[in-house]
Amino acid sequence: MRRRVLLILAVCAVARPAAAADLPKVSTAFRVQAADFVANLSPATRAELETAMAAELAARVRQHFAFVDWTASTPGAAELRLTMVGEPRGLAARILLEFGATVGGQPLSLAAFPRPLVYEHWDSQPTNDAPALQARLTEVVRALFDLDDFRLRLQKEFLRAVPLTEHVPLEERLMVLTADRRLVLPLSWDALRARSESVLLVRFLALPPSAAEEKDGEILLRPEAPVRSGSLRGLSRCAVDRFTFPPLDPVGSWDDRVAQLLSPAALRGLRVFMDEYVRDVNPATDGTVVTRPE
Amino acid sequence: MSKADEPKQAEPPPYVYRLNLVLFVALMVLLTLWFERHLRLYVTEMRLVGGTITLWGLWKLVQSWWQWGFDTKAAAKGVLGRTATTERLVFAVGLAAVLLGTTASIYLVYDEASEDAAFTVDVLGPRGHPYLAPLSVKSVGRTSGRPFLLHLRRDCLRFEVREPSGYQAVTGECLGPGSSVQLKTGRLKLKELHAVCMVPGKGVFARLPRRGDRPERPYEMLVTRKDERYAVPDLRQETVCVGAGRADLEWLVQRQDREALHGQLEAYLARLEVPPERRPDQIRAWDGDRRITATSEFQAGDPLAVSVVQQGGEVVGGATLTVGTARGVQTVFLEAP
Repeated sequence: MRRRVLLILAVCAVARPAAAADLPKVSTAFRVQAADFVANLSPATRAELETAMAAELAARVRQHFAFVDWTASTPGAAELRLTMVGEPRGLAARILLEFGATVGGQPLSLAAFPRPLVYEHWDSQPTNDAPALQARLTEVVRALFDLDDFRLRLQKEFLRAVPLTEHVPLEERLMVLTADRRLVLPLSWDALRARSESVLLVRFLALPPSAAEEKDGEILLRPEAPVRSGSLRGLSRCAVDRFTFPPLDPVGSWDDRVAQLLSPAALRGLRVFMDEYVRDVNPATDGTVVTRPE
Repeated sequence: MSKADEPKQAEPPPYVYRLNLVLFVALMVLLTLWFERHLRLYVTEMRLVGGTITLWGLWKLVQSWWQWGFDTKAAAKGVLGRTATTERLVFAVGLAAVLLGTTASIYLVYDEASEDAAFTVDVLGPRGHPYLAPLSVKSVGRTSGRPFLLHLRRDCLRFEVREPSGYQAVTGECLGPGSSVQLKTGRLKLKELHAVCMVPGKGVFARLPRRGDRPERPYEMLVTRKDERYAVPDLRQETVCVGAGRADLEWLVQRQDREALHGQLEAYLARLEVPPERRPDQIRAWDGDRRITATSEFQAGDPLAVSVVQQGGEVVGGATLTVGTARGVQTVFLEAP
């Protein structure tokens, strides 16, 4: 009986259309709030600068984190925001950048995030010169993204909170390849650009067979490779690293109950997060040769 | 006929010789005075030459009186013993007296009591027009001027120091027949100038555009003194100096004690926690960019109100002060309210 259910699930999964879902959109924004700059730059100039810096931020962050769709122009499921603020000090204000983020409209606390310095209070500040300010801001942002520690912090404190498949119907957020003992994310492997050192965290809520109440569970996934054939071709195939569903203790790479719990009958909720991300710089291969080098 | 039988030529009386000597001495005194008063620029050391010749004349006069080593015959036969010489000397003395009485001259003379090493002075006539070309003197070229022969008018003059700036004009000197106006540079007095240089400070400096910036909303500085109001448009990150005419202000700023000023700026920056290594740049920004704005001459005790206003009316900073009693430049920091 159990084998039959798994087989049906597997067939159902394989029979689904294999259109890769879009990566979740994360917008970037930039705001000038430092008083001296606000006073001197007209709203139109400021808006132009803010748009340009939001695009610059999107470009920088896209370079390192490809598993979401960074956009500076349209609102997304989450937002990464940089605000240029001034702290009144001696001769002038000290100009800093402050990070802010929201996920699903809820603000995220980034209190421990670095606040990169743009100008000291004794520096010559181009409060009347938007191009000079933009050049300096670009320099600061680029320098920031060159820091491993900063990128790690961005991943840990913001990006790991962005659900990757929230915009996909629940039953399609994670698919099971029972025969292969693998799970498939409905995201294009080429777009995800995750190396196998990356870790995906799946949090789900399921009603186990013959149980009275729903329970939370977690699965840690490791992206392996694209699905190379069938209707799921091109999607991201992942191996299970750890499966936790109390009262079950964490179990190893695969548990037969995964397919049961992720079946439409049992699944009540599921969110996938990129817990750790190692970007694959050359994802497009035909197995031996890089077909789309960077 | 023997030589002894020849009729004796009449010897001029000794008083002719003495009279000629007196006339000669008088002539030399007159000439010495004339050259010394009016032609000193062209004939130098006249006091030495004229004085020596005059002394020689006086000596001969004394010698003839006391008959001490005096050869009466030889003197009587000489030029000074002749009556014809008397006529010429009387004419010369008369001519010298007329020259001395009708020649006038203006000279600018450098002296050691001067505050500066070089001066150029405009001499203006009664109607304010230049009376002669500007006179220039310096410590190595001490006299400048010219004589006016047969000057029979009386003109009251005004001396204005063109360079260096900051000196008061000299008036009350009149050029009449026989007079010599000699203005010694040590007499030139510095004006009682009270300049105020306003330094954009805390909360103001960063708001102002730098040189080369094209501000969308420019700034201006407004200075109010009693009923006067001065506007300094297109204000930049610069120090603005007011309180006198342009030339005087430039001169005052140039003469300002830089060491004391930099000490004051340094102390201000230290108070604002600007690290020592960054202070020189800021001091250069303040001291290097000075904008001279001509105003009327401020007096000690004048109340001043200064404000920095952005286009649209927002007051960014300012200061209210009283012009200090000390002569020179007063430095004031403009801060955000």
